[in-house]
Amino acid sequence: MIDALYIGATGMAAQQTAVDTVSNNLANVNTTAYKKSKVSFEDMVYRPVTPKNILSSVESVNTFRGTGVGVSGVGKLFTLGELKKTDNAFDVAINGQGFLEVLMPDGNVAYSRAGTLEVNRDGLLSVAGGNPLSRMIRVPPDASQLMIDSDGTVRAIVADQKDPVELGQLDLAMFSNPSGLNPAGSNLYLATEQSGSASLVKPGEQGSGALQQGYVESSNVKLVEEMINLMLAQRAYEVNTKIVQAADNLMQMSNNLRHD
Amino acid sequence: MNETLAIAAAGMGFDTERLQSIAHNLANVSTTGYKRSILTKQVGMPTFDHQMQLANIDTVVDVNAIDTRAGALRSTGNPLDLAIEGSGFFEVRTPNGIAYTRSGEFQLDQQGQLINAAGFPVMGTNGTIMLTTPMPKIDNQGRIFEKNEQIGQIKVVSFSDMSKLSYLGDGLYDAGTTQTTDVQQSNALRQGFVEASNVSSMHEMVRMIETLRHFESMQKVVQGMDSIQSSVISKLGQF
Repeated sequence: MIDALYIGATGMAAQQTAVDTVSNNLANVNTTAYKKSKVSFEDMVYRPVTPKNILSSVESVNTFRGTGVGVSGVGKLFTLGELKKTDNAFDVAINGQGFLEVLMPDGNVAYSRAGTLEVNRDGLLSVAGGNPLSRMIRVPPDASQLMIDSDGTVRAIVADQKDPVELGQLDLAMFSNPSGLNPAGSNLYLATEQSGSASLVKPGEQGSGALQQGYVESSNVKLVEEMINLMLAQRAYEVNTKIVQAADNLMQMSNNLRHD
Repeated sequence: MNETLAIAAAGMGFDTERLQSIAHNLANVSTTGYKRSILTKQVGMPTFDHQMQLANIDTVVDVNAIDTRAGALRSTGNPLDLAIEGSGFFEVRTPNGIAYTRSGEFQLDQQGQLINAAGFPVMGTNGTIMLTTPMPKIDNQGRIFEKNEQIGQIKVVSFSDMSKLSYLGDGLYDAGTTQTTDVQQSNALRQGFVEASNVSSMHEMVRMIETLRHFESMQKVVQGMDSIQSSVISKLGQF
């Protein structure tokens, strides 16, 4: 009956999504290579109003009434996080837009920016969690001093060799629209129709970014920014509850038009 | 006698609609590029005939105007966020034709085409814009650079009469009959910023209180009329 009630509800639902997003960002402020999410809102469909004036005909100019707010999307922002020095040979940061390609247990590939590498039980170079990089780089058990060059060449010193032996070559996946990637948890992303398919390039080429061994990429969440977003969302939620109350008051008053 | 009731009922009807418009503004208090709607009713003077019967109320003009004032610029740091200083609009191509928007939360689609938050292609001076990186450099005239090479320019238009604009939803506006002019040289674009909604929650709350109290006084009018009629009926019944 009173649209204001439902419009207020759309506002509350939208702000709820905003608070959810902010809290997820805040929870991941220290997650390696976490990319912050952001919500975008859109004003919802305008519907025409039919003149319903009791007294006379209504001459209407632009008589479209809005019906509230909707969430047009929650997207990730792939701006670069700060690179943090760790001096760990197994940490590698990507100083650009590329992703490491990871082989999942089900045979599909996923993409990650978190270059905290390890050697899994099969002896393959893998991301944290044990899923190997898709280039299947085998690190011999007796290898020491892993070296990853900025162009992705992986070398190590093996027991009986004097010079470093090349173990393999890392490449990076590039997407035309990384914001369209589907976050699958554990710092992994899956390619979707929106992101387009991955094109593999050599690190450092086409803006994919050089690899930097001994560094990790920190989360790109900025605390101050998130706190401001949280306050805004909270207050916007509050003002929408006021509208719901006002619509309730209005209905109460109409019910009391006839006083006893 | 019944005109009083009719007038009060119309008043309450207007108040309900006005509350709806306030609710819509408040729901969009944090929608990028949203422009406040101002619902106004201009009721003409009532005229009465010789028997003091209400003959006519002149046309009631119902205007849902758009408050086109600019909102504050908010820094996001996202290279695909653009804000326009001044009165220009971005142009997007929708399946129903060209529409205009102030909301510069842009993104890329799977082919690398620049699209807006609702998924419609953003127009450049030479048609749609294709990018190969999600981090281009865009200067304040809208020229897009990738590796120091200009690959396009974002189209910004302004209108001769902003009051002709109408809402389409999704942050889009229809130009109606107003003339558009390209304003490429205005130095008005800001990369990494978006324009916040121009709704002021304080202002809307005041209008909301005003509306509720007006509704309440109309309610009292109805109640007053009701009790007058009730006493008329009982007094007349005593004869």
